[in-house]
Amino acid sequence: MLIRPFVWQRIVWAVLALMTLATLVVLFFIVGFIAAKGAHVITPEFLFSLPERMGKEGGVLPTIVATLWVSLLAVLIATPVGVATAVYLTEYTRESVLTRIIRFGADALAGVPSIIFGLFGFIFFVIRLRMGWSVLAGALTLAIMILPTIVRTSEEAIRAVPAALREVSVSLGGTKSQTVARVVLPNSLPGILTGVILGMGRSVAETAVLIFTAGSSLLMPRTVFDPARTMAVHFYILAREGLSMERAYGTALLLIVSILVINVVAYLLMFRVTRKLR
Amino acid sequence: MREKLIEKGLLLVAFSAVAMIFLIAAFIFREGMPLMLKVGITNFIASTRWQPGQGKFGILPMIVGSLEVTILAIVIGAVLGLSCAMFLAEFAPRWSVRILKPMIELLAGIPSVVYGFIGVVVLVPWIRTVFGGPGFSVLAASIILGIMILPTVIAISLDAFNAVPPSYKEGSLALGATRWQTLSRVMIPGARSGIIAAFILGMGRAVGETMAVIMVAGNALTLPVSVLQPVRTLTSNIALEMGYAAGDHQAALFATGVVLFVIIVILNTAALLITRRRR
Amino acid sequence: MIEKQGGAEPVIRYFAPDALVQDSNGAVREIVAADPAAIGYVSYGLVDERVRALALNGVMPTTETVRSGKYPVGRRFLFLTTGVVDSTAGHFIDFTLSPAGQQALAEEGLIRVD
Repeated sequence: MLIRPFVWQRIVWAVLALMTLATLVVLFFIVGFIAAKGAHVITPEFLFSLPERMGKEGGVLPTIVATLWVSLLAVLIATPVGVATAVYLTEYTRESVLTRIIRFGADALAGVPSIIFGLFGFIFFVIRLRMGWSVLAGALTLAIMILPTIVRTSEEAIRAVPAALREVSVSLGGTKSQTVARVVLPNSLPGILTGVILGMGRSVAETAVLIFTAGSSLLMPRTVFDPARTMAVHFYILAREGLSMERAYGTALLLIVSILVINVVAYLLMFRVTRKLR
Repeated sequence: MREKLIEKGLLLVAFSAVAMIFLIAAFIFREGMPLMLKVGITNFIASTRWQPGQGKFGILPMIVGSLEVTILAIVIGAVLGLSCAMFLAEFAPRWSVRILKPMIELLAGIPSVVYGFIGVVVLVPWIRTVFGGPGFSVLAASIILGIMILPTVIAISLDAFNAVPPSYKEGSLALGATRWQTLSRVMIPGARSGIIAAFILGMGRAVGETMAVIMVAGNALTLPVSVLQPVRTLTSNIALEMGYAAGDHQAALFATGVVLFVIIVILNTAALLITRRRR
Repeated sequence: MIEKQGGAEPVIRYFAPDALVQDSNGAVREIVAADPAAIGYVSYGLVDERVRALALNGVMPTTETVRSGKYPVGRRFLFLTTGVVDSTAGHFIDFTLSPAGQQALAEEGLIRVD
């Protein structure tokens, strides 16, 4: 059956448009559903008071604090390591067996399922290194998890710095390390920050890893050695145990909004970078 | 002199960063291999009896379950995601793409537990009413996973399309082809390696997903024959029992992790080979 | 449940292989509440108006029947320590067994032991 090309194109256009619409509807339904059910729960009381009766009543303050701590600490640990690795890969070596091993390692790390990180973090940090369920154990495990993201985005950002800038620095008598520290890094900062912020977004969303490393205690964490329940874990527990569907939706909405904000900031930074390079 | 020190220092840091993957792999293997050898590798992988209380550790239902769910998820994600990417690349107005693409990528940040929860509250009852069965099924898990990998598949496929040299597209159009003909006969083949990379990345994410799957798959120990049957994946098995497993049982969960590791390595290697060959 | 496989010796399965497994009590309760054909087991304290507790051996589960042992499926809750009960753990156990602690448990629908 011969269909004229332009008729066929119309048909295809309709099918693809339908698929796209379906996709968008599904994705926005998810956000909308949570927002509709959870919006009325988010009051200043909810945000700033402590949970009562294991989360059936009260607010979610400790979980907010826990999420901030764990994700910030994870990023604090992962960024220097990741940026240093990226700097080494781009500035100090040519493509070689060594760089390929390093890159393979970083890529492989990116493919590991989160439950394996949870297993590893649990047995290694919590038990073997005797950290117990703690903010620190969670942050360390998360740091390893987000390391590939930071290495990759930092590498791209550093590579994007024009060679001319480096040449000027060298011609003025700067050493390699001076060039990197005073010219390359400051210029690649927005790109690096984008990766860091994306890593933070991933940390906020992570659940399986943190249940096994940071624990699920509802107490306000006071030191990095205290256990902590992040918002994602709290939502999971509230929803599954059926403790309070209302608060579950509220926590979920908080989560989504936080991640949205984090990602928007990352995007704005990225746009600043691409605009500067034009 | 100081320069050398700094260089060596950076090398050390880079190496330790990378050493992590080997550390993790070594760890999982060390905890899991003894049990696998004790039970017998073939027995572990091929037996269908998972009864830790009786010392029986067969994970075949979980391997099949993981594969079934992942493959179906990738089909759903590929069909919807590729269509979306094609539409955004060729048929949607520029201004809409600039809004929609970031929005879709933002949705990649939604926690998996939220997806899973909505799956339980919305999808599972729907499947139960419309198709029968418990609702907790391969189908439910695949749909949720497929939706979860959509942003990844769309974003990478879109980038792949945009990376096709404009001259290909212009040449085709100049020869009188319609946009669809250009898309299907020039752009898709041109973007093939990127599209496959998108699929494999999505597949990797689907295989590794835990929380959402635990909520909607039912976690029964049967080998799923129909998509309406409940299923347990390798990741769910680990997450469900890790909290209270001890001794051999715990080692068996690490061994499950070993199998998971191997499957992912196979997937990633395949991805690497395919994308390299098409260069 | 005992099943025979081929000519090999009978396999004893304690759980039907197609039984759904969930990651928490609450999830089981949700399934039973939503699916008319479902049956499951949860903690006594989780029973609410959406599910029906069933009688076993003619005995309905209530605080009294569980405590007295008439209801056959009851189990004690265990505190585990590593031998030396330090002050915090000891105080916690003491609190749980105190009238105030027992009252708190009873309010959550759990069974007192005092």
